[in-house]
Amino acid sequence: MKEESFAEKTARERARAVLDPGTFRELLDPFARIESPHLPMQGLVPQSDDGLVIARGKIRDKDSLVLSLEGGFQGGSVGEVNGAKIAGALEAVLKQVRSGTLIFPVLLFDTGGIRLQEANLGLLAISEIHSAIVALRNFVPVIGVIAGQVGCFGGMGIAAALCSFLIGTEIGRLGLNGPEVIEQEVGASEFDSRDRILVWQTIGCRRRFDMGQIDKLVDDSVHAVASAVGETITGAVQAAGVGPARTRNLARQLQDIQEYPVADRMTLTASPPEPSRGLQWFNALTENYLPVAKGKSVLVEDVQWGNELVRAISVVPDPNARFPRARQGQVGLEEGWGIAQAIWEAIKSDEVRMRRALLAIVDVPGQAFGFHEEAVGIHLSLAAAVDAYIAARELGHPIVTLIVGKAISGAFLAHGLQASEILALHDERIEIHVMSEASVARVTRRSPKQVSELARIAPSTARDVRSFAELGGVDRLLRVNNPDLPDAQSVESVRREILEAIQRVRAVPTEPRTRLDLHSADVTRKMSRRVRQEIEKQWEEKRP
Amino acid sequence: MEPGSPAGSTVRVRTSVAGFQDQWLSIFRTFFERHDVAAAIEINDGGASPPTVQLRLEQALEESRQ
Repeated sequence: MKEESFAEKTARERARAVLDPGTFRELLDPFARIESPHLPMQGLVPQSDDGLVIARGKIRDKDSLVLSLEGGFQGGSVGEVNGAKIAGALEAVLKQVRSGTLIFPVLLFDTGGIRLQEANLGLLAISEIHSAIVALRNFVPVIGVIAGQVGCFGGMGIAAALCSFLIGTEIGRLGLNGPEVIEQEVGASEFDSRDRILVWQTIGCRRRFDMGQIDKLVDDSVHAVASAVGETITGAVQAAGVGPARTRNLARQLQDIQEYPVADRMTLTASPPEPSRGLQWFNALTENYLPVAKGKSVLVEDVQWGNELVRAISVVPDPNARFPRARQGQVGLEEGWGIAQAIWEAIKSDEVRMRRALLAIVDVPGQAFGFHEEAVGIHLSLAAAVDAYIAARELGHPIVTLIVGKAISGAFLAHGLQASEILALHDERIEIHVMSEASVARVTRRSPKQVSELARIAPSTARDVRSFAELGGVDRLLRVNNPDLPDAQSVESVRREILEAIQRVRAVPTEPRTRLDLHSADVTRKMSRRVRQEIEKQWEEKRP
Repeated sequence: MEPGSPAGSTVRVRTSVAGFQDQWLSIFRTFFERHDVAAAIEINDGGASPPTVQLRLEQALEESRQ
């Protein structure tokens, strides 16, 4: 008899399937009608659960919480409401495990990543999901399952890599950029999205398992997935403590990247890179006016500002980088792990003295879109950077971000968004968004003109810094004379702002989700707050 | 689908495809002729055709009676 497929089930059926029979209790169910207010205004039909099921219940008799994404609704994409459902539920579990009640969180991924119609709201939600997963990992294993027909991509690919234990099926795929997006950004010669065999050989869960990027590979059957989840929880109860995270295996991964053969596709970029604001501001703030050493795309420098030791980190273009798709300042394989390395160095050397501040200088045009990047596992590289920032913040390193140029999508998730305070230059050339307009047009099946008009009715899809600040994404906007070539006066005022931000963070240890409480988010992130309030209200009555 | 009021049934359809009003009406006429119920129905069509929705309505009613 053919086994019953797990991938073909709906999100709700999947959640029921991994829970012990009769223990399924749904929070914020469809009858609560907490749905996306952003889709109807764009002429799209919403769904009453926004494509996400929160279920409390028992697995092998242990108190558990299952979060299940519905790939059949908008490609399982993460917008404001379903993103807040995931982040809010994980935060609720965190509160419980911190007070000594053990609850096992299980994430059933089936998602293409950020919902492009809600863009920066999805980006903020995903950064909050990352933060909650890493915080939870200190108390309880976070179990992820890649079991759906969509796979798991974008910021949620990073979230999957952050899980303590990851289960995949033969049908599942895991990566950062989906093949369709790479094809749109770079061309079919880079990655042919219609070549199914190539796609699964490169990013399929079997491949990821062989590379050690997921922990368990099972058949696509209800029984196999439910057993794998159950065994993981039983095993975790017996094992003492939580195992080391794959996102912290720096030495091994950096070596793998160095040994990866890319030479066959190597062509050195002939033209010098565009002048980089990331480089200009890094040099100005660290008083390092020397030209950047060649072959380095992650710049790291410690500066002493009064009592504060500050480690500045910036990602800059490197025309000689080994991976051609990461030569214009993108965050690629070497950059993600490079950022992580710089942060872990600081964490280790500050074990017995005051934790130094970290300053992320952000001018990143995006993550690297490329075949080799996906083949090696760029989602893991970016997850390593995300993990390092969160770990540093939790240990008490004040983290401040300064946006001087572009802050885009996965690159921004990996470098900047986990800071306790975000400062940005008040300048019209700053861009903060999740995907190029051409790719948004292709994925959402709209014309490029419709896409750019959308920004007027849906501010979360706008690309300017003021709109992002209105979402509560920026703590302070800084005016300077010349953002391209900072003068002494501007540098001094920005430096003072950074120091003040560091002081504020030292005074009150904050998590990035308190950005949700910023006054600027009162209207724009109303739903993100409401979802959390509702979860809190229903939490006890849905106890299994 | 939820219980309706004694005053009768209500139906709300949200769809991104215009021009199918007649089909929707005939489906609900058939449904309420066949079943003597007072229901409050909300439909987000998610790209499904009216006949598919008709099938789902029957399934929902069956499930509600179990």
